[in-house]
Amino acid sequence: MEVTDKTFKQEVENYDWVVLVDFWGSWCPPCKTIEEVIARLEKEVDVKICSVNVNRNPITAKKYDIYGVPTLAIFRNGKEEERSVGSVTEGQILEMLERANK
Amino acid sequence: MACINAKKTCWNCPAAKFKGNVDFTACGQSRNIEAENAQIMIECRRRPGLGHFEPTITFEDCPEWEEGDYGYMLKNMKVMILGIDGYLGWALALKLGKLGCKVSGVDNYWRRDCVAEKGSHTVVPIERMTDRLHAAREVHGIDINFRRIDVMDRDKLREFMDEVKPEAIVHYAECPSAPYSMVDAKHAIKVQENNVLGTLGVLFIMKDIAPEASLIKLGTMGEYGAPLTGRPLFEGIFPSDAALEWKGRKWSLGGELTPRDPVSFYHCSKVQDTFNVYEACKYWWLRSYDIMQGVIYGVHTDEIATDPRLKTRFDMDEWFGTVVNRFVAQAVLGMPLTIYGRGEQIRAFIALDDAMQCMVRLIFSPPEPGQYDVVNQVSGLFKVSDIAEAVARVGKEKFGLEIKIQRIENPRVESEKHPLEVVSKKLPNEFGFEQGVTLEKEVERMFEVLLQPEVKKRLEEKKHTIMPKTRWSGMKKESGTLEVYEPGSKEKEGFEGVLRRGA
Repeated sequence: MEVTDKTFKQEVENYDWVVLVDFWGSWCPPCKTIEEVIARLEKEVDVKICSVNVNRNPITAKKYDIYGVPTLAIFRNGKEEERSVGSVTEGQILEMLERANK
Repeated sequence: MACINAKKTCWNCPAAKFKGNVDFTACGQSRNIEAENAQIMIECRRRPGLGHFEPTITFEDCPEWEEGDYGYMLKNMKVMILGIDGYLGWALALKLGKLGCKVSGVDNYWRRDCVAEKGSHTVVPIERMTDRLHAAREVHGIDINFRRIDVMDRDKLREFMDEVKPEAIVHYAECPSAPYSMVDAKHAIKVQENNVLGTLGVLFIMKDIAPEASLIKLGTMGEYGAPLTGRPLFEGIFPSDAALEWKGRKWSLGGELTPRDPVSFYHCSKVQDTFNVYEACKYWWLRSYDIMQGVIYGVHTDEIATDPRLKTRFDMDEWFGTVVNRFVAQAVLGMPLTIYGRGEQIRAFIALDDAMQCMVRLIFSPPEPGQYDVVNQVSGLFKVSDIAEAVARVGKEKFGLEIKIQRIENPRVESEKHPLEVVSKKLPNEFGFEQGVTLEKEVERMFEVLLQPEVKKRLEEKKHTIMPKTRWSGMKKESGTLEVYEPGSKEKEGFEGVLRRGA
């Protein structure tokens, strides 16, 4: 789901289990390609997934120091636990989720 | 399908002007973390009464966007065509004008001059620009705002762009000929200077004058080349599941530009453009669709067919004629159709009318600020020898012409037998493009036009410009004949092109 500066707290920080957050930019071809994977994973895996456009939501991007996009971050109980910066394959995302669900 | 862009928002709309707090560095892969903490706001140039607001109004909810044949269309959209006098530029100007766009355009008639320099002419006669503009007004009620400007004249172009304030810019103002760029140093340099530096100038002007306009930039499928490995030609950018493996390690290639392998100094100019446009989007939040267009052919759009004064040019000489157009011209002249080398070269193609449909769809579905995207604008893949067979078949069955095919020495340096797999998913799936014309149908229309006595006479006059004399090696010598054969007499062999259009 698409999350904004206004809804980030409610959807991610106040969420009681694991959330995968995809921080992406409007200029960013790798982000566009990851978007397809995220859309597929949303249907296939039992983990909450949120997308944040860093250009449209500068407050959240600054708060979490998103210095490059795409950034994929795992939040557990509202705390960032792991992040990966730069393009990743679907397999690498699944590995992240596996670690998070342990 | 018609409302494919209904959910796009102000974020994509060229009328939305950003008000402060735009973190330009954020378009790069790095962000300026010192950016102010505030929401991005816009003001609408078309509806200033709304004041400052978040860019969230969808096209379907905005009264400035109206539903039409190509999805939602921005009312009276201001579209500037660079290279409006050319084969594509003129056809697109009329199509957009008919759709209610406010069309403006520039041209310096370089194409007319180049063809004249090479001793040829457009075989379909075209009017002078003043007469074209007059006819467009009289026949279609379209007023085109035209200026004679060379894109290399940045001051004049800047002034005109400032006056028009375009909402989309179609960039056709490039030399489209591979052989012309291979004639000698003077020609190669002129082509690269105009194409590369002209485009670079356009980008700088857009940054200052029209940063919200989308740049619809014409590239070519020839930028990719034809890899012998059969690696698919993705749409400019690797998909998410592409990866690089090396010494037991693995990295995602998703989102990176795919390799380019241009096959002439002209193609090199287009590849350099790709990088320049890509960087400009990254640095300045410009937005662009870079179009990898297949080899174009044909004579027809509804608008140019209405009146003889509205025709678009049609070249068949070795420098500016494209292969299908040249084959039909040769068939009308009773010359054997000339295949270069083995004739097993597979290329991507698109008919003029279908290319114009794609352009309209891209214009009305603009990219986001900072977005650089690539589309493969293609409707079919054909082997050169199969095109010769198709032209010969249509010529015989519909017009009773006896046509032979000949293989000649290849003046180019290119692989003559190779696999080809092309991905072209975005136009059909994201923009609603539907192919409207088959190769055979368009070839038939071309015969009808070229067999008209006046056109046939013009073909006869310039017959000597058809056989290739420009060799990539630099040698000036007409290609010798390797073999002459009857259509239908050859067994099919080699590779078949694979076009991937599905979702």
